[in-house]
Amino acid sequence: MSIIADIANEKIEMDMTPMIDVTFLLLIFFMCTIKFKTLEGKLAAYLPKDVGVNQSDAEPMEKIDIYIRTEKPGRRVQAAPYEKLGQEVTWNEGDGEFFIVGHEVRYQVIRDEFDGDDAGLKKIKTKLSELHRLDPERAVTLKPMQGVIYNDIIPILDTVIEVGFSDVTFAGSYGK
Amino acid sequence: MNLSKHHAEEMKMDMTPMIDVVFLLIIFFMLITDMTQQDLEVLTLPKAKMAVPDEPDPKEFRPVINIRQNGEMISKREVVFAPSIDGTKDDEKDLMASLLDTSKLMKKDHFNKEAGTGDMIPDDFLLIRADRFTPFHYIQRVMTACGNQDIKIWKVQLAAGTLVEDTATEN
Repeated sequence: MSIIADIANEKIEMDMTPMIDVTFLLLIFFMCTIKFKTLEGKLAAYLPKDVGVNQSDAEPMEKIDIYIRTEKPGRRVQAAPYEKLGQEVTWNEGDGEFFIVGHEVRYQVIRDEFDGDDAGLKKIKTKLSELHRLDPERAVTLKPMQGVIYNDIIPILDTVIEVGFSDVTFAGSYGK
Repeated sequence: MNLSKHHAEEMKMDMTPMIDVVFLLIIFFMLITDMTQQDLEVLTLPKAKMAVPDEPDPKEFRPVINIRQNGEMISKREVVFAPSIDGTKDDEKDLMASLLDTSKLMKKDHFNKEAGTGDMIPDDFLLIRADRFTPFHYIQRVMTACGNQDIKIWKVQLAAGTLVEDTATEN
């Protein structure tokens, strides 16, 4: 009788240690892996293949030249206050990461000029679509000029690929 | 009486430390085997609608060059190019050596692929990753180096962030 009473009165204690262990391990795991899970993509482009001794036998084709010119170079501001507070603090050498504010670019497709904003890119898309309809195999050459940043190239390359051109080349030399 | 009590007691093995160790080993191997992502520096990429999601095959060789805002170029976690302050004394020796090694490891194909004629040149893509504010002349510098007689890399991919959510809402 006394044994049964003892069992009934016995407190069942749950050991929390393994759960805490596992929680910490999961926390560490997610902290380590989360930064790799950002979605990243890539856009294919080509460089002039016939540099040097190997000359292409193919007939020269009329290319669509797209010039990328800097309209306003913009100013460099320190990334941290600008990103968080929108506050512009002039960036100096050794200040680490920077943002470029007030940077403007213009695109020139064959002879027509376009703004570098969304409206300009929409017009470029319309123009390129017409050109693509006439000759889908036509090659496109991107010619970035001085002062251009990586952020200016991706939207135009994206538009060219979106229209359907697959032969996208970067000009061999850097334009002034 | 006492002896019989001892016999009735069951021997229980505590599995907790073993589970802990197993978890730690899983995490360890997951982190070290994901080598394809280790080549990617932390950079803020521009966004693109048409960007093809980057899902590399861990077994395949994938050459990557990262370019920071200040023009510093990193390949396989090593700085291969650091621009000088005034830009006049830039040393491209390490960059060229790195691209040469990359070129040697790439798959090769004929210059005129369809005809099967011409020299054998690299036929893999070089992934160029740059920060959105990186001056383009640094990327151009890599491209120029790719055209070197001994390197001859002509296929490149420019890294960009994907716009999956935005395109989903547009549709």
